[in-house]
Amino acid sequence: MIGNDIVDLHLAKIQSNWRRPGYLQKIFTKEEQEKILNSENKNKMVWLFWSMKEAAYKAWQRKNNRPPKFNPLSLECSLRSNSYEKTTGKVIIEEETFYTKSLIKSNLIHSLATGRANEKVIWKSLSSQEDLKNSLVREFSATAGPFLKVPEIKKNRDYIPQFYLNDQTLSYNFSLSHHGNFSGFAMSLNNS
Amino acid sequence: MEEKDLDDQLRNIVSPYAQNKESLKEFKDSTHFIQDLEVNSANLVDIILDVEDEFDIEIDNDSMEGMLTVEDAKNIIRKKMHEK
Repeated sequence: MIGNDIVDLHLAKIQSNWRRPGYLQKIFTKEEQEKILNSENKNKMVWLFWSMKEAAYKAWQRKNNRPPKFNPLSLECSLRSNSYEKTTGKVIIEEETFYTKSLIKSNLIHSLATGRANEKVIWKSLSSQEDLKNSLVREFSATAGPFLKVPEIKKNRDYIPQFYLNDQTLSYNFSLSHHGNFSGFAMSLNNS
Repeated sequence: MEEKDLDDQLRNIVSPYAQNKESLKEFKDSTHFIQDLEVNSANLVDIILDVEDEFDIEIDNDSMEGMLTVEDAKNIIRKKMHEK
């Protein structure tokens, strides 16, 4: 099971003031807050942790068929390696571990979370001009197809998007994300 | 507190974060902050902090977890105001 989340760092700066009193305390654990405040690039650390949590939450929601909830503080992030562009880590949510990979660039952070450490996944970030859903459907058809009809993407009652073909759900796990000038998808290659 | 006042106050708080201004016109109990108003999830935190300031209440994490629609928010505000 997978989830992904993308943050447009320029838009995040305009949309959110994480320095606002009380903000960090509402979404980050004490350890996470400490890591943020002690890091060289506090802004990046905030959005790195945030995107890890969002990606892991999406994977968790899909894995357990849960209705949406909003409790970022209950998710605990830790980093394993933090190299220049690629960061790996873990997020624990209700005692379940999700493994994360994050791509960090000067203008975006894109995080992927998987239920297993070595889950086979295709994940891509796109500039918003490209059509996210078309790009995913193309990738999906190339991997799981060919199909006689183009699969559609619709949300189920928990707002989780799924592939449909002739009104039948296809049991492939994927996740969409967009923010500002960027969008991203992740698709599991292990048929669920 | 009058129902209409509460609706208006909440709507004023949410307005700057709603990216779908059309949905804002039909602000009702079932309005979903993320799905209908297209509030960015990082801005949900701002809504919660603004609600805390406006009503002088504290929204704990368990309450925050279920604050996804206008009705959820109103129920939590009423409950916390009552507990004051």
